[in-house]
Amino acid sequence: MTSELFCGHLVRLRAVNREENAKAWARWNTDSDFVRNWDVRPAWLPPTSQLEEWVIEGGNDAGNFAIHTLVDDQFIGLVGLDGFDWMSRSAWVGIGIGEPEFQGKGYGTDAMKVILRYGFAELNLHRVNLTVFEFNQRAIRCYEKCGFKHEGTQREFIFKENKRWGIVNMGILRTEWEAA
Amino acid sequence: MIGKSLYLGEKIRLTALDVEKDASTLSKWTDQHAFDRRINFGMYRLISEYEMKKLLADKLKKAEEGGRELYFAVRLVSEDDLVGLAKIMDIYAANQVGNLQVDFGEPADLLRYGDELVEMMVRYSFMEISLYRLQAFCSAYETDLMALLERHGFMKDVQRREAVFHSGKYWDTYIYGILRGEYLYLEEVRAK
Repeated sequence: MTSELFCGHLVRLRAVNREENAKAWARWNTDSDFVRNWDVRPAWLPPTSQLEEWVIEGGNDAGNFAIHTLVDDQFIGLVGLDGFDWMSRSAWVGIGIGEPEFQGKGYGTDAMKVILRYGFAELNLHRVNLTVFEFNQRAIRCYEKCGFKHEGTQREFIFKENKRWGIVNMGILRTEWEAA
Repeated sequence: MIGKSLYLGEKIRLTALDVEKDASTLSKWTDQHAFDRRINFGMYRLISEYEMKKLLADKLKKAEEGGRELYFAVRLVSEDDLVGLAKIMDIYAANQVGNLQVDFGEPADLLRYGDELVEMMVRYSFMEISLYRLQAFCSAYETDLMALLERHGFMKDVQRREAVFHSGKYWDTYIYGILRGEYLYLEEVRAK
């Protein structure tokens, strides 16, 4: 009954493979734009051992999932839920498509739809939150397509390239996910 | 002396937390949902004095090691009793951003001393630790806190819909923010 739970139209979520996924993440990390698009901290190059911890745990309860293409089972990114507030039934979602050839082609949107289905239909969440930097317009469009609503911007939060940028807050409620 | 004291106001003063002495008082405040959420990130419940001592000791140790959190006990100028707790959390040095949290044991004390406390904490944030942006999170049921922040120039930047469950229903939560330039402008206006 739930065998297709982790399956989308383009991707399938798999349990992470600690060493292989961390190795790929370390390779993607060498592109500073990759990190700058999602980490509020200054970009840097952590050792693979630290990335292994992060890949496995993601600092959270449910952990990260590896995003694989349906066609040839290639590992292309990570997606995960964390920061669960079980009284309020809310969680945070994070996603990164690292393989450049799969960026901007709907793989991230598909993976996000799969993780939202997991969050709402399996974990019984009421709300899923995310933040995204205002210069990352491609990601914002992806989240809009998945049904996330804009809920405001933390003005001038981040400092990069001698400029200040806002952090856009987005959220989706269970009723909105059901209606989509 | 390069300015008026950062720690001494007219009615209140900021001091170091005294884990042994203050834990008992802070334990009593955990019947307030908002305070509990800001000190204990788990399930809303009452925290015993024993647990509070451990919680505070852990938090102060983490603050000392990480340098990303600052804790202040709020006491009346004339008395030693703890009336409030003020924190600047999640300080991102590279972005010069931090989160202000203020709590009072008695809700009425927020009306009595809140303005002075927020004024002192905002000044500390911009004039001492050189923040560029100061934020404050609150829930929609904290109407006195929201009005207090707005009186001090904080703008409602984010409204997270139905983000917290309390007292049988969902409430929106807000992120308020004030930038250094906005603070300096307000100070200029006040000085005129």
